[in-house]
Amino acid sequence: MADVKCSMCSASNPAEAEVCQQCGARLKPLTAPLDSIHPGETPTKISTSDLENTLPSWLRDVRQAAEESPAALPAATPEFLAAPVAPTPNTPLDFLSGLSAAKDDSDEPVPDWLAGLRDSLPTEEVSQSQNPVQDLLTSLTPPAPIEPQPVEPPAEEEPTWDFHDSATAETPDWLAALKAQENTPAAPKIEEKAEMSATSGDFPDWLSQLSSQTSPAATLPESAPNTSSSATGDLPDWITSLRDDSAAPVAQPASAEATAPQGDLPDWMASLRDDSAAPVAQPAPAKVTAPQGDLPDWMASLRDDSAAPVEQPAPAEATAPQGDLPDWLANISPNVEQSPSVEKPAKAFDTGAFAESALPGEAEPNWLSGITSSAPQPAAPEAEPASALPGWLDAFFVPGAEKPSEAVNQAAVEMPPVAETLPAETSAAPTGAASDAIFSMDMPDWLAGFTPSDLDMPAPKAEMASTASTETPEITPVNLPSWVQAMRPMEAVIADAEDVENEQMVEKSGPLAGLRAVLPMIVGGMTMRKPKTYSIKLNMDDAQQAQVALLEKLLATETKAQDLPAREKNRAERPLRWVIALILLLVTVIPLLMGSRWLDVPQLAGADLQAFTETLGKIEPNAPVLVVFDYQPALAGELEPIAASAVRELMLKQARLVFVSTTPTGALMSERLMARLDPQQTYTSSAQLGYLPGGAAGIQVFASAPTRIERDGLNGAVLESPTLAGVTTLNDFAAALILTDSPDEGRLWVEQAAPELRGKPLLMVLSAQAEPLLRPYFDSGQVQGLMVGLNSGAVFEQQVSPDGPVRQVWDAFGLGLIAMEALIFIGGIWGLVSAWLSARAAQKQEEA
Amino acid sequence: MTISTDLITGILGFVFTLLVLSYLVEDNPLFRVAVHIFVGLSAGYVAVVVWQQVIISKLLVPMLMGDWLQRAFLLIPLLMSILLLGKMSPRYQAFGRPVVAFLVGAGAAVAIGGALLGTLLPQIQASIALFDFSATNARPLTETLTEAIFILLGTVSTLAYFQFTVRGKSGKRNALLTIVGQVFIAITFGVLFAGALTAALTALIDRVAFLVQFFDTIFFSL
Repeated sequence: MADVKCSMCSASNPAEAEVCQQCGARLKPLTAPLDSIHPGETPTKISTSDLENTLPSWLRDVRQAAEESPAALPAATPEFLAAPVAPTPNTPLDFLSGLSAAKDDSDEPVPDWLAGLRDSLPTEEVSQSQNPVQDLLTSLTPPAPIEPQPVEPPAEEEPTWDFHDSATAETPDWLAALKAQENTPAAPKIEEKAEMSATSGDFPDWLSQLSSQTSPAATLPESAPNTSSSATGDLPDWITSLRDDSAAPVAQPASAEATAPQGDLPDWMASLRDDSAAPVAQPAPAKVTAPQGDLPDWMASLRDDSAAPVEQPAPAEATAPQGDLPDWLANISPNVEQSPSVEKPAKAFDTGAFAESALPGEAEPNWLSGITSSAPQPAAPEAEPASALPGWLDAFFVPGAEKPSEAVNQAAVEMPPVAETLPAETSAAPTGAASDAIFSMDMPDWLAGFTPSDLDMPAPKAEMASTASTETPEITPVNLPSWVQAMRPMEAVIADAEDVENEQMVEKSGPLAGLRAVLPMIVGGMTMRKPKTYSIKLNMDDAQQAQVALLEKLLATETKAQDLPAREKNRAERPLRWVIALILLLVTVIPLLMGSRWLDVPQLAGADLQAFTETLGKIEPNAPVLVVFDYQPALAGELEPIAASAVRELMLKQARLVFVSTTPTGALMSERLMARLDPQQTYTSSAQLGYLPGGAAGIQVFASAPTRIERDGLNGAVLESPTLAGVTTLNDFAAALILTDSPDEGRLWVEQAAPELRGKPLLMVLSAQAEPLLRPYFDSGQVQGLMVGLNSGAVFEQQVSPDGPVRQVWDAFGLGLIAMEALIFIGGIWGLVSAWLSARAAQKQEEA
Repeated sequence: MTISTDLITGILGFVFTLLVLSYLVEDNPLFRVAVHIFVGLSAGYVAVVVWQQVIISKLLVPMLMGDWLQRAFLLIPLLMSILLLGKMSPRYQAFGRPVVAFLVGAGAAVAIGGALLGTLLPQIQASIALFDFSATNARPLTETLTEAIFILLGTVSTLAYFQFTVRGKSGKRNALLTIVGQVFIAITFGVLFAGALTAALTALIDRVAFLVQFFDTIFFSL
């Protein structure tokens, strides 16, 4: 594999080396697009037809001329454009290789400025107008001096490039007259122009055409590389960077654009011309003397811009025949006369490109030299411009100024064409592959680094500092088209980024701690590794996820308070309650107050009451009867009247009544009943066993041994009373009468005591609310008789003692029941009607 | 004029009756005062009764006045009562757990035995006996048979309702049975409501009669 030469020190390095072994410069660019092409490789054929539209018209003209007359291609195209069609490592400037494939794309839309450029300057006009200009320029161009290196005399080998001679032959008379004034002050340091002419890439095509038409087959001398290298140093930095770093072609058409026709120039190029006014205006007396009518407008503008530097006294011009001179020359003369104070023209522009593009023997026009000569040139031997410089141009020079020497003309004759110098520059310039790489970035090299700031020629900074600061305004930023901005070289951006990055580095340790940007950071030295990513997602299967979701749902429901539905308040609720209460009070109070007997007491007893009456009637007199008071004082109003009838019946039989209760208030209720039945307490056949604790267990124990608890307790003396005489078990009682308002209490007595009664009757006096749950015991035969509520009490009382306490409240009870039933019925009807109305309204709303 | 106890109790009864009836307007402090007083009186009365008739009469007096055997037997309930007091403190509540366990166990055993022997088996037997047409029964056969069918239908449908509704397995075949069960349950609730309403009406009548009697005693008998 071929070695790679360092673009910095030209040292050979292995192909795989990324950094120069000698100077450490990076050999391979870091940018991604450039990584795909390596030095020395054959570039990939890239169709650059799309870029055809972006090319200026003068390049298109070259293309068209080459196609129309292939034989004339060398004459119409500069060598640097014609030669490197085949991309070889030693043939740079392959950036136009794709143009041949894009000839059919000429109809594609082009930028406005390019379209205007093409319209304003047709090819035919340019080619036609160039001939007289060429004649004029060739006669005016002084021979460009070359560096003092030994130069082979190839003048004899270049038959047609004796531009000076040919130009002289075609020089009009007025120019010839000007030539006679060669002794007048000539353009200063013309040799510098000759050196600068080595960069023929700066030479515009229209100028190339001029030169090539004169000498289509140019043979370049071997001394061209030296000349080119010397001119390279005068190139702007951006051009140099392109050539050094990124395979940019050596041919820098900066001057070409600068000298492009005014009509073809886009705005940004026009601004470039303005910005470079100072360097352009400094020398070039010959340019000033260009015929006004033949020069394009832009040259005229250049002349105007360079008026100040050209303020050379031109006595010869004053003596020139006015009729032969073009108008523009006539206009220049007064300008020159207005500023005679300038002693010598400033070296403001690099004319090397023009000088180098000039064929041997042909003298570069002075006006071009004035345009391009500004770069500091190495000390060159003084040329003798007298023979090459027209005499009329000498009039522009200050008498004391330095004249171009003859050596300049000689050097210009020996100056090799640019195309021949290019291969020799490959040591410092990029190869064809590299240039292709640049081209692969969709960026014409001549536009790559084209920024207004770059065009500010840096070479003569020292000399231009004073003039530029005073004569030229501030460089105004140019609004480049977006496509031009996109084609800027990546190196510039990357370099800036690296610089910023290096500047940000601060040493943190060692003796350099705290210093910034002391040691450059080695880009790429550290291996950038993407940090390992760790997944935060748990590995759970569907079942586990479902369980987790269920658990979260449960937790959410546990902590979330359920909103209770707000109770809808009815405005009629309170009045309705008052009305109901009032009705019930009236129907109960009025009968009681009046002591009415409006309602008859039912005479027919039910089976339960009938069984109760029969059983109670069967109790023998003076028989022990267990009476259990298990009702609450709240329901004493219900149970006490009916219980009173039954107890009174037992008392009539002189039954020995043993009172017991499983509720703490039972004993109180028994005493209250006995006080009601026997206010004088004359009935002595009763015994109060009191409260029986333990619930079911207590009942079960009591049922098994009724007197055992009492015997162990404080009331043991009761057992010695005649009431409990002969009573040891529950079966010893003649009957058990359960007075309860609770179904549970009644059930416990039935469950625990009934088996212990062993055939002795178990009678119950129940509240109405306990009847539904205790009636089955009567139906099953476990309870032998029931007396339930006031209804049964009234019947039983009617049988045993009419007009008893039940009968006194019977009307109130009956009317109250009727009133409640009526209210319930009315409420039910009201509810049905309301529901029907609501449903009907809802139905109407749905229908609406 | 001497103020008799009946007059005082009558006045108190009259006042507290009005306080309770004031609930007809709305929930008011007077009603709350009456309720609180009743609850306090009931608790105090129960405490006195338990202290007097249980602790003293059935525990302390026998312990002091009983023989050694009686005292020995009473030590067990005494010890258990002391341990049961530990339930009042979270630190010593563990001591009352055996006592509670004993009480719950004994009560459950007594309740289950009583329910099985005193309610379940006799009720099953009674329901089956309704279909014993050979048994001598004073009631007509149709009445007995109708009652038997209703009881059987009510029992089965009610059980079916709870079986197939609670567990959510009610299908179309059981839908009718569960509906019948709902009807029987509704009738049962209606009966219970009617009984409760009747008992409440009776209590109201008792209170109104008391007021009438009180007014009659105060204003007409004096």
